[in-house]
Amino acid sequence: MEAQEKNLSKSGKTIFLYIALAMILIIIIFGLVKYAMAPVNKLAEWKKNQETIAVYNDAKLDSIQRLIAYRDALLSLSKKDSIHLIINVPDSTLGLFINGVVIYNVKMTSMKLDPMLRKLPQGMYIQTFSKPLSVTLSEASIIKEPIIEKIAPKNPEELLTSVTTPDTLVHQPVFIKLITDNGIHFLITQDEDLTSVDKKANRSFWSGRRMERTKSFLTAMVNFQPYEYQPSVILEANDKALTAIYRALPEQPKVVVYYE
Amino acid sequence: MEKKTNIRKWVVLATTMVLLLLVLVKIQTIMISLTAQEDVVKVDKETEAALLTDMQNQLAVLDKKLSANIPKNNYLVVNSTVNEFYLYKGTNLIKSDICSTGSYILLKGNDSKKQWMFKTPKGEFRILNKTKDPVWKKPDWAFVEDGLPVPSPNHSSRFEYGVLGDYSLSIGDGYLIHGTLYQRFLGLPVTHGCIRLDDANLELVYKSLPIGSKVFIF
Repeated sequence: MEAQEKNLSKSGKTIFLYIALAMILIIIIFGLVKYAMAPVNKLAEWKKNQETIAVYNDAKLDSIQRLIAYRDALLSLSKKDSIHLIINVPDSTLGLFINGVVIYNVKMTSMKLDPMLRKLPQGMYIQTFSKPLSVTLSEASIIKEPIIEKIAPKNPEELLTSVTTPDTLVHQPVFIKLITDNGIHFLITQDEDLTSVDKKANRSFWSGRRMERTKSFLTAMVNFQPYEYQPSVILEANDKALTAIYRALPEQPKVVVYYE
Repeated sequence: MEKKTNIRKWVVLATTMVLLLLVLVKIQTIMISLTAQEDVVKVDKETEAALLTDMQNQLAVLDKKLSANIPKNNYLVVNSTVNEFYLYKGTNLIKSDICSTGSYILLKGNDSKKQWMFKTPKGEFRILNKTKDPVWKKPDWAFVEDGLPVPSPNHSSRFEYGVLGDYSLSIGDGYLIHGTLYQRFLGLPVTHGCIRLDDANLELVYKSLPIGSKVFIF
């Protein structure tokens, strides 16, 4: 009798184990499907707002079509009276553009395009990048305007005690995130982490992004919502140049992107 | 025999696991490759050549339109973050060197509610006026920041000679490109919004930029 009870409890435990395993497997598969479908959904979302245009099975024509798209985007910005950003991947340059003139160009030391952007069909590329992208959110580890508040001295003697350090002299790590209205994340970072402050800022920037992605994934899982894919462009350049670029741009600049 | 079969099983299992892991890691890329397909128009050599010529013409027109925006005359670009200027003729850089721009100090008046922001404006400007041997008419903030009482608008203490260098070029709203007595501060953000150059650069800029020339500040 006792042995029979033992057997029953053992088989109960086994069934419970199987059910738990099956549930874990279902959750994993569910998560995996969400994860795998994220770029597919993003592509579908982009496609929804676009028309079909003629695309040719020819590398030469593809390349020239992309150049035309780039020039079209620049031209549509040439009458805008504020400063905008140009990302030219083949030339490895980041530039500032105002009223049709490139006023600053800096060499990028590293560029990484997201698989979705790399494999973007030609028709979608042309329609997406033949006009400037609008940045809806810009964040950075540096402030836009390094304002130093100063109360006027009461007399010339007090003036001598109120000496301040100009901001340009103080090095600050530069990590910039620009998010466009179609969901592309431009992650622009300094190319060298020389000090411990730089390394800490680097870790914080990337771990923050990982945390954000994980949170977004878990929220999508719990709420049975689609997981939002974030196509990204990761760029690296000199810190001083990036500081100048970030501070020159308005809060919501336009970005023109060109890659082959 | 049984041992061999067991080893084979483990090898198959391990390989499957590794492959599965690779698929999992690259699952999004795989899905993108599967989805990112489109209908392409196949073209023969003749059509390709015609299309190519057409697109090249289109590109040339766009290039022409774009290059029309670049000023034909000399123009100045000022980088207010690193405090450098670049003097251009078309796309050719004639001269670049250090300068000084706004300090970003927000000066708050002691007893009044007035405040002044000492930053160099950003954007596109034009040279509106050029002066030789300029005289500086000190504005109110020049007295406030030194802890001195503000004199009447045309009081003699407002006028200083020689402090702006040999030349000044106005870009509007009281902002000037001028010289400085404090050459050691060049390259630093120390001005009240104006752009300071050393004597030689100021002379070059003065002589290179006629009235109406463009000045881009970022």
